Amino acid sequence: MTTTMARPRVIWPPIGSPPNRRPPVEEGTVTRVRRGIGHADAPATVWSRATADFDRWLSGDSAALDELVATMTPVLWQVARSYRLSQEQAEDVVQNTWLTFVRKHSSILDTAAVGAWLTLTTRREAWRVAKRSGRDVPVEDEALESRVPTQRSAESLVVEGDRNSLIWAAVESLPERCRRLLRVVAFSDRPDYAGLAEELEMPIGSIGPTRGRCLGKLRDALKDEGVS
Amino acid sequence: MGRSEEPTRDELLGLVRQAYVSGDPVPGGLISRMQAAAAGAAEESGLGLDLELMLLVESSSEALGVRSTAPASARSAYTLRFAQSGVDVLVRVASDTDTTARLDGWVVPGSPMTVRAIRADEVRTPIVAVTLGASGRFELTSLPAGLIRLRFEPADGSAAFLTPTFEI
Repeated sequence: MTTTMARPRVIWPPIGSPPNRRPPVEEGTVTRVRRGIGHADAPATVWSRATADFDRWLSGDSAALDELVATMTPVLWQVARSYRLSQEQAEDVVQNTWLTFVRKHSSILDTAAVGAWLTLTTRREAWRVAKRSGRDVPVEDEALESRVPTQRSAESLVVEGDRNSLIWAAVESLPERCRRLLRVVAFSDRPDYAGLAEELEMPIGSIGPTRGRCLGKLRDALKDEGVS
Repeated sequence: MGRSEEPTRDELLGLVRQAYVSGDPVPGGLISRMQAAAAGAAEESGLGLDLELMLLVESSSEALGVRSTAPASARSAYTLRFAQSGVDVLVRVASDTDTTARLDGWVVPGSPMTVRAIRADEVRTPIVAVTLGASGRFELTSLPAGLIRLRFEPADGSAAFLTPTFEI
């Protein structure tokens, strides 16, 4: 048995590394406030939970698929909505991602990449849908330098608490391109710049500097709102 | 967030997440709708509960009669054969180093598929995965010693096969 074969890729950390266990999420066992699975947690945290779910599903635990969907759907929702899709469109995109995942999960050899795979699949599909429905008209930054607070969308009505609405106001005051870029980056860890550049119709080299400028603007806006 | 310093990049991105999670939350019922869609798709593709469990039909040691002074690799090589629903898998397990093993396998009939070695202890984590072509041959190396199962996922989307647990 020595014919040519694909080289296996070792994806499990070496012996001695801590086991990749699902963190406890039940009430009463956590020491900090949790909004619910996968919500405002950093992408890396959500993704390691997703990897554990995927691993358990592969080992024959069919209920783990439900858990993977519960872990990742809130993130995929945010990613899809970054592309100015309606709620219905965003829901279709997220559903498509899950159907594609079930069909193509065998192509994800490295289970640690499942979160990134789902996020990227959602992004590409959301971008395609946005383009088709003409929502992808690029808007010049100049025209959007300041959005006045009165332009806040109806979504802001549902925010809970003063601090949250101040943060929301600060984010909403950013130019469209900034909001979109920061939202994608915030929910997908380190998205590939080439894809982002295409989706945002920006030169690839300007993604990094633009992100930096947008974060700076957000910092100032938060200061204006008195959040920091 | 720091008391007096400016918020860091990660803190700012955390605030962006917080803003959108509360300002544009997941619609009610979305998660259960997605769970139903995924479960339905999995059922259609014969995944999930319909996973084919393979049976161990043969096992043999290649190194009968080898003295205990022989190298560990020679002492511990053995062959296993699993079968289910017309699919046969032959696996040869040999020590790689003192703590790792290599596994050479042959699936008959051969077809493009993904092979994963899955830890069968509590962690249940896939340790390696490879894709194999029509030859049906595969090789997994540097597997940490312990209990594993092999999972075969045909590229055509038909039901996956899972072997019983065995020790490497």
